[in-house]
Amino acid sequence: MRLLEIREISKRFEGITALNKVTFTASEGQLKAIIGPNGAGKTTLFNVISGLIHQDSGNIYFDGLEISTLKPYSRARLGIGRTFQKAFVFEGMTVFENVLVIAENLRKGFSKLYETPERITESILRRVGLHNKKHLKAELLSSGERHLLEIARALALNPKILLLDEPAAGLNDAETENLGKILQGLASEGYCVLLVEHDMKFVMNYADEVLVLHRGEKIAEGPPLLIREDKIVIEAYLGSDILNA
Amino acid sequence: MIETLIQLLISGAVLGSIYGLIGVGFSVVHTATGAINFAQGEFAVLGAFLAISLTGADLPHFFAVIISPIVLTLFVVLLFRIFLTRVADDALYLVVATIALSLMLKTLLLYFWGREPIGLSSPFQGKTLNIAGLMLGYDQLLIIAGALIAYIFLLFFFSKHPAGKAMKAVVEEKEIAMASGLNPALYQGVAFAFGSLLGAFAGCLVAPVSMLSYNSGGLLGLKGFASAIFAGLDRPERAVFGGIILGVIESLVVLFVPSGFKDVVALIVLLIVLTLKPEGFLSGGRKRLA
Repeated sequence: MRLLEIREISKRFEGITALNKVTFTASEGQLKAIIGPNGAGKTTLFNVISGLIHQDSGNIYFDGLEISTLKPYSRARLGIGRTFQKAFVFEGMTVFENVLVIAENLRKGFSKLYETPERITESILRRVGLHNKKHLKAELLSSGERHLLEIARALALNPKILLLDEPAAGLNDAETENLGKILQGLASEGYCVLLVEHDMKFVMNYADEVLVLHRGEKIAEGPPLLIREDKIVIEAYLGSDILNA
Repeated sequence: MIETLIQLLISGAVLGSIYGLIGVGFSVVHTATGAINFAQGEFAVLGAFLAISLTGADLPHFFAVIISPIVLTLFVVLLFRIFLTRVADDALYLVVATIALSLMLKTLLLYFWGREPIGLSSPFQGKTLNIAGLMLGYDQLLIIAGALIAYIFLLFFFSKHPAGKAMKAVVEEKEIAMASGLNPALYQGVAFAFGSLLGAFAGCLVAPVSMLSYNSGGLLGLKGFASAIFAGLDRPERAVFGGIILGVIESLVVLFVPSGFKDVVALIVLLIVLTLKPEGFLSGGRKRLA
């Protein structure tokens, strides 16, 4: 089922086009990667979808609702969870509190009666593999662990879609593989996962669809194997071997 | 001599508890918005004056002291919703808005209650407790108890209550908090509500032991601010102790200098803290939150 529809989104910053009429859709259970060279507009696209910046034109539909003008916290409450390129955590809190603060403020009503925020937090931390570090101050986590904590915090929203900005950055090979399995697991449960990622091996291994941005424009969209052979995409990456990494 | 010293310590702690309560208001608002609320002192005076008017209308003292802070809080929440929500995202604009609010409240106080200092008559007036020869008024005891209750409540609120933790999250990483579903304006409004409630409560507690006039808010606000800075703006509940320490220093200073200089103590303390330890002497170490 279609969950997110981006229709002709454009955004300019002081004369520079960050996004130019970008259109695409994402569905439940899909693991879609957004790739492109630096400055392609990937993070801007995430900021527009999550409402942290407003598009100059175009529309965003989520779960059948137009959300183009909603505030970021309203979009999050509808089920859009996200992480950031520079993994931000609430450093003054423990790992457990970072997730709990979202679980207890956002999960209301009946779900709260059956599952306490503490239990939800426990199970989310177990899922991302940070359970053993739950009492640690978040500021002491490594860069890779911070990315995992961000994912955990996004999951505490009980989201329908996850926007993950370079989640594999700072992870070693084993951690990257573990992350890939976590994301595939989420997609198989029906979560829609959109990820911006520079690690092409990771993208090719785990994404079931790839969208390529170049200078703010969508230049290709499709299964990873086709994208790897796409001439326009190869050109955008200046013929580098990055796609075959 | 020792008895005089202990008496001075007690009266310092009593006065300091008032400063502390007002200081907590400064810290709570700063915690949620990153701004200083310059109307905090006026909240105290307005709370006291409302209670005085309510007792003047034959409402029992106890009810007046409860109702006045609630009425003021509702008024401040309304003001926040109408005027301050729009500027709450920018600390500098918010500071300017609270300066305007402070002047507006001062004018209201002058218009409705006049220039002459007034006090709140309390049923405990003149009643004292004799502890080993030391005289402690019931009103003074109430002030210390009020400050301690506020301390315990805030300690619970910021460490255990979801809204308190969310408030800390909002100020630590605002964009992240927003992207995680937390609405900053909601928690900023809650902070102003707390600030006004505690300020008005402090005003109601101090009015039976000290006369107040329409412009007393400036001095009360300064001392509350010094208490908050002394404790560290990142730990709202600790401003209570910052206030008590400030009150005791202020009280002991009169042993060495004429009492007229007493009010300068808060300014000197403020300058010393800002120079030597800007994050505050009772802070957790972070400049903003721990």
